[in-house]
Amino acid sequence: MWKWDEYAAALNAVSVLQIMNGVLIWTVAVYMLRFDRVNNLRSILKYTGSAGLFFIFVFMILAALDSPLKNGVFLLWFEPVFWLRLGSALVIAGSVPKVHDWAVLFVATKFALVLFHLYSIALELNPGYERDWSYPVTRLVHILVEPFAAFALVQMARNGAFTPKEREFLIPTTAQAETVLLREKALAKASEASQVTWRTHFVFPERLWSYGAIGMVIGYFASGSLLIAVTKPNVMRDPIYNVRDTKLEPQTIAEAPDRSSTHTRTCEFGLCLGHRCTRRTTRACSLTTCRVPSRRTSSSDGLYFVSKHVRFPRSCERRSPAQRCSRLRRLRAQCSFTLSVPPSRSCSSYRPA
Amino acid sequence: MPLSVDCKALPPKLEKCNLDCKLPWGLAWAGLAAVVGGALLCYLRIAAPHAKVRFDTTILYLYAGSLAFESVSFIAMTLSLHLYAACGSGTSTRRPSMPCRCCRS
Repeated sequence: MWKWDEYAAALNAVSVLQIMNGVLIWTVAVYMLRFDRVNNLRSILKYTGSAGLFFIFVFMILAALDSPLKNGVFLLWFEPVFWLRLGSALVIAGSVPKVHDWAVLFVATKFALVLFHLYSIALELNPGYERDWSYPVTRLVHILVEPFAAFALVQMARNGAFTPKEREFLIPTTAQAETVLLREKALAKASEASQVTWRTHFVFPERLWSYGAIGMVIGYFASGSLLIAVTKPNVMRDPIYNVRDTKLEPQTIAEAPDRSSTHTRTCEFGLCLGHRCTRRTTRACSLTTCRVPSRRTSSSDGLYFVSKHVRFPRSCERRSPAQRCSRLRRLRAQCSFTLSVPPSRSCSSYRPA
Repeated sequence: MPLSVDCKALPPKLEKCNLDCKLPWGLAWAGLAAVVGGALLCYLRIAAPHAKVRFDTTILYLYAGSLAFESVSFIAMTLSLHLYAACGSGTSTRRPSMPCRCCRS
């Protein structure tokens, strides 16, 4: 069960330590979130500490099982708090004019740290991204930026951004509360039905915004479902992805006798023309555009991706299978390529007379 | 001016920051976090009580504690990398000339 070697055990121990650190980071973030209210440290720590203990517990179990899910748990604990802290600091910048500049400095520094944190995650996911400067630059940014972040936070605290204060507009006065209660009673009496309970529902911008969250969640879920179930995107065929796809680069360059003028094309007629050969319907022949991705060597950057469209006459449905298949063969002969999709059976089995 | 360069004589290009490179950088960040956290704590204990306008220092104490944790974590992580990673299963980037200190037979 315990598969750790010394290094993995050490890293897991450090991760547990960092999750404990996350309790403090979360508490700071909640303090910043509730900057305009009276905060009870013990009460906040009760919640953040409980959540931290839960995450430590789950992380230790997953680490003992040597599951990669432990990384997900670690990120789940840390990712939200970074953004919560940034958002809260932005709200402070907009709400407390006295500390505006310091709050903006805090946001700028912490945002830089979050960006490099994301870069570190990318390196974890794909170590191939790592370059000789990756580790030093990440640490150097921490070293350069962290003192400014700490100083900005001190200035925010010194200028009273986190000093408990009571604000009139957040606390309803006794008279207002009495009015509300009287109104509720009057409404309940007017209905004359004990089964029906009337109550005054207060609506304010933040509450309306929170109602909108339901629609947003439904919208995102629906769009995600449509994307996955209907569009079914294939990243491997994405032109932007293929711009940097260098899998064929050495082979292509090696085959090209002259880098500057020669280009090698990879054609994928199989799917389109195979479809055309097997069907005789007008609908099939209306698909007159067949994408031909070509890979060409450029001057210095290796390969880039271009698309070429091959058009077929609209009268193709009137052609015989022999004509259509000879057209396919001619196109295949023009391009020195290997079909990525096998040609249709009707074409491959067709023999000209 | 030499007409040609003997490529074999040149040191290989550094592809990744190896252990000898990671050790100072990791410790530098941990040390900086400790210095900032320590300075913050000194300020909170010495200067903050004498401020003209009193302010709530709770969040600063929490932040100083967070920096302390950060420092300890990164020192532990960097040292564990230095001590243990060289003994891993072929993933070490340690130079062969530097013997591993902790490999167990």
